[in-house]
Amino acid sequence: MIILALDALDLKQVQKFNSRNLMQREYGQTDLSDFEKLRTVVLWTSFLTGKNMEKEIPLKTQWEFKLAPQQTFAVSFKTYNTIDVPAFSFKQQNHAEARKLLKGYFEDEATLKEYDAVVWRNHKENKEEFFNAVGNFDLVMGYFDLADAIGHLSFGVTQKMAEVYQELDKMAGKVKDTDDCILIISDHGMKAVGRYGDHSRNGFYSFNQEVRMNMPKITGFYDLIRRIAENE
Amino acid sequence: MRVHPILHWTELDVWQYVKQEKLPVNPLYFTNEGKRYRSLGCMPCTVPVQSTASNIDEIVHEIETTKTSERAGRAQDKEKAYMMQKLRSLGYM
Repeated sequence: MIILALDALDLKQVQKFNSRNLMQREYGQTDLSDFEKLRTVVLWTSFLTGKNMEKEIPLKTQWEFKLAPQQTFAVSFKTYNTIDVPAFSFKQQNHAEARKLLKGYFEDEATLKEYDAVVWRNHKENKEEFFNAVGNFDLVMGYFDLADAIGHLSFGVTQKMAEVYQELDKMAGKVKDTDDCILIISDHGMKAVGRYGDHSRNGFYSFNQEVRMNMPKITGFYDLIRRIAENE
Repeated sequence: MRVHPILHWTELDVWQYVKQEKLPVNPLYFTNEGKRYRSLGCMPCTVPVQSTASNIDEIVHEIETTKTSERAGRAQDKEKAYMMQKLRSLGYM
């Protein structure tokens, strides 16, 4: 199985940019109504464990929060490789560097160009690891925060977001000709605040098989993925 | 319905377009005794920034390398302040 975990991938944007590879056989919006705040680590851990983790993860220490493999669907697979997955194989240093520049941008100590460069560098590093892993494990899950990280400071800049969606669509296109089950999923969507972008409840999921989910909750994928693991 | 066709343009986009189309420019945007205006608003809420840029090419170069926001000379930038607060509440900083 292949899981493309694409932070802030938004259903409306996927449709706007006509990202055909991201729109697989079945796709739609996820239901995030069980969550008070749309926090990245909370949503991904809830996806991985099938449980709402909002109360268990304090805001201040969220980036350091770590799940045990046994808490997640990953152990249902004989072999797995996860790349940069929050609370699991998260690359603390890369993300801390990006967050430092994000803070620097608001405090006039870093430029948008510097911030974007680090975000794209991190993305390319993950992309290389992800494609090296595809085909060599029963589960490959790659996390990419490009749409979220670029979107927070440039969601209103259509040209930049088009580039982001084009890149993510190309990645989906590169894996689509496999026999594997492919799930593309986001933690939340994004909405414009002038040129900036804020988390929205317009999350996205997409399967290359018909699974007949209608507005699935992000915690609702856990059982399905475990069933897929049993059949592999 | 309100339409904002160039709302997403950055300061750099604007200057590159000014250069491309050779548009007339308010002289307050160019340096005068080491200072120039990057953003013009009403008199009491707009202040000049330190700059030696005396033509459009120098302005483009300055914007590409500056660490200061376009509206640093403005009293308010509500969207930026709002976004900073939101990102803080989500734990990004």
